[in-house]
Amino acid sequence: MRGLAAIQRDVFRALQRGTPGDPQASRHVRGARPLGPAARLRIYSDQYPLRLHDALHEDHPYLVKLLGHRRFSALARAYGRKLGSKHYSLGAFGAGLSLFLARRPRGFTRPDLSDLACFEWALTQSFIAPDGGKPVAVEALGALGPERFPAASARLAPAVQLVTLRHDVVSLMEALDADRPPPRPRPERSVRLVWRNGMEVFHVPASAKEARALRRLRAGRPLWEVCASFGSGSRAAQAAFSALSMWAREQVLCDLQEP
Amino acid sequence: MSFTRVDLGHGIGLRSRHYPDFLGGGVRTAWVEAISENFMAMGGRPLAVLERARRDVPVALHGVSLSIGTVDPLDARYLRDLRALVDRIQPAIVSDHLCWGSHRGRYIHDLLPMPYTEEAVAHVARRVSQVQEALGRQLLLENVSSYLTYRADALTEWDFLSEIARRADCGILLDVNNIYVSARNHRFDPQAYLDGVPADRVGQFHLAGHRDRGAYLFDTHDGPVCADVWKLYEAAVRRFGPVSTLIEWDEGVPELEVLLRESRRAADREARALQRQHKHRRRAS
Repeated sequence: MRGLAAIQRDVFRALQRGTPGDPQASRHVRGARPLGPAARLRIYSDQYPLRLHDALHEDHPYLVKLLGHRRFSALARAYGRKLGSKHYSLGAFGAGLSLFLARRPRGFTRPDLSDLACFEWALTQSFIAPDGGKPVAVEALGALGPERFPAASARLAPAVQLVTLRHDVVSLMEALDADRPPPRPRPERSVRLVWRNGMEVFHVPASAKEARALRRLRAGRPLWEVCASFGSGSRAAQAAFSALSMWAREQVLCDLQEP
Repeated sequence: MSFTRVDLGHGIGLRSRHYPDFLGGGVRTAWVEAISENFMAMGGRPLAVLERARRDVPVALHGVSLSIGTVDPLDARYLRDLRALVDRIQPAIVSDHLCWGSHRGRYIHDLLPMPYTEEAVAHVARRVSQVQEALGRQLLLENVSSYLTYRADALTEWDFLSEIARRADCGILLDVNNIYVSARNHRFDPQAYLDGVPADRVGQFHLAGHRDRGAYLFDTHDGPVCADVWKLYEAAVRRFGPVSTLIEWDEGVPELEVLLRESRRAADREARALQRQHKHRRRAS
């Protein structure tokens, strides 16, 4: 395997680093003017950052609009250089962008960029998440009755995302949609529920109680524990059942099960 | 050891611009080819479109990230996700490229040419067998457009491809445009390529557009098939007979009717090539 392994090691390194003139790589490649080894390697090394850029661009239209194409391209280059692509699908390349921005890389210090990337990523992932689970009919929840309801459980559909944000990026996105000047970053801690109903993606703010209940659903806890997130007493029980009914209608829930 | 060809006729790629057309049903194509990775481990609208298309016509799954030639171990996650998609869609054809595109767990998302050596033949043939075992079916390997060759090369590209297909007992997806592009870039005779590939292994053709960048041709899939590639396609039809043929158009994807027209053009070219061949044979007898 020595020959093949050495070629792949040297050529890959040159293409990934964008150094097609690297003698370690070009020694493996045939060529003569006007297309010598380095020029031939350059055809490939030029394509790599473009592909990464295009993948990020497609998944982050608001970030593109906020930063402008030139700065977004610089961001894509910096992110690509730092992380590379570790997944077979180019569509997964943006998974770490929010974390990358959270470290405030040079030139990208606006504090809400990380939250915006995180939220856009959640919307994309919800759109393409695997289908799965049997939808829960509201009637089925009601039909459980007080004896069977507490021990029953349900799952969150694979497309459901609970996104914790530290800035108000929804107002920012609305401004960008309306071609208004982007507002200044506004710190605001919130949790948003992102889900898919049919083929469309939706999002709403989740209250602290709703977020707790959704996390308990995600953890596979029984419905009595999910409902306890809303407190005790008849009003809390009514709020819990109302939330569960809405989540069932909206295909947030799936796979209702009884022990 | 054999390969069974299924002639699906003339098809088009399933691209997001045309999703509404496919969801509406009734797209007049004999079959479609979907990029496997765009649907692996996914659901929602993309998968709904693919499943709708599958209800209407046969589907081929065409991968771009198997990286069959890398010295890395096969990506178990990739094989698991592809197998799940294959089981769900039941495609007529499953294919990927004879290339490498990853190293030490990093992906370059490109189709890098292999060195044409005996070592690489043995390496790739062994891996193709593993993939076919994991998928429970035969794979077709496609020749890529290339802009470089290696000093280590000891075989022609067509001998390399043919030997892997024979040893791994897999099929060949012959991209006629890629042969043309590589022939110009590396100065070989494209007809020699066609003549060098075993006819009983060829299970699919690709046709596409490319760009002339002066010093080399660049495979872009962003326009119609050029006259020289149509001629080479006719030569391929005469050599291999009628083979499932796909028009690849991935950049600046046109309206569906334009794509379908290009596909019909391929069907006409195939018919013309077969007719000529028939006449030649009649004269000869």
